[in-house]
Amino acid sequence: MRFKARARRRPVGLTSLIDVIFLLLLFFMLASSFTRYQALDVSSGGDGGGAEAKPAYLRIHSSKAIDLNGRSLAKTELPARLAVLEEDSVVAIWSGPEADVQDVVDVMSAARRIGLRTVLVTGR
Amino acid sequence: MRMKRPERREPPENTIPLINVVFLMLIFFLFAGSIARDDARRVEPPLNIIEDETIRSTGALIVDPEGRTFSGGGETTVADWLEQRGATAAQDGPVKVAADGTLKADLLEEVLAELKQAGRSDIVLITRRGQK
Repeated sequence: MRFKARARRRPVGLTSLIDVIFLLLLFFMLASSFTRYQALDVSSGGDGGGAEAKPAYLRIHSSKAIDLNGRSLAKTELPARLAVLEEDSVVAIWSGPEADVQDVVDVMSAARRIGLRTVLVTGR
Repeated sequence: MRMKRPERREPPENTIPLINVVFLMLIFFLFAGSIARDDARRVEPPLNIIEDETIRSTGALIVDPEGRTFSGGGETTVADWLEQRGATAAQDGPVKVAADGTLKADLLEEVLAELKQAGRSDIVLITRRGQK
């Protein structure tokens, strides 16, 4: 019995593969975003705390004029001044008409970072 | 006289390194990027120094620098947005608010107060990770 020699396979064309990969690459390059967001809780924890220690009162008049319990401070000395407060105490944040969201978020994140709780106080 | 051109065949270009590089880029974009809809694109959320878990901005309530509120497509009011949201998202998580960093805090507080009056107590503000 004689076996016929198998026909030699032709090499697979790479061009179509590259086409598809290029398309996929283009899609993912254009469709994906790299900004990372994170959540900052602003619901101020609900009520029902009852009798608590007196909160520290922090007022933001503008990005340059902030005072804590009546004494003014700069944004850069915020962590040092907040660190004096007791662990787990509450910082009540009031913002004036000149304050931006960025200022409030700066103060809130500085306080949260060292384990303080924050409450937003509104004038209304 | 017949001129004979010296015939030299170009060898076929080697495409394997090209494919390797393209594959690598494809895999990078696949893993590093996210293709979820970014609703907070139209504003610049405030920067936040805390390193916390990341969150998607899909389905957030957008507050632009003038204090107008938007959802996905167009301008809405807070009440309308909450109603629509209640109809579509049954398994809704916290209420996400994406405000611009330059928005006046008073205007944000108005939006927050409105959300609170509607009975929502789980509100988060979308921030960007980073430092100035």
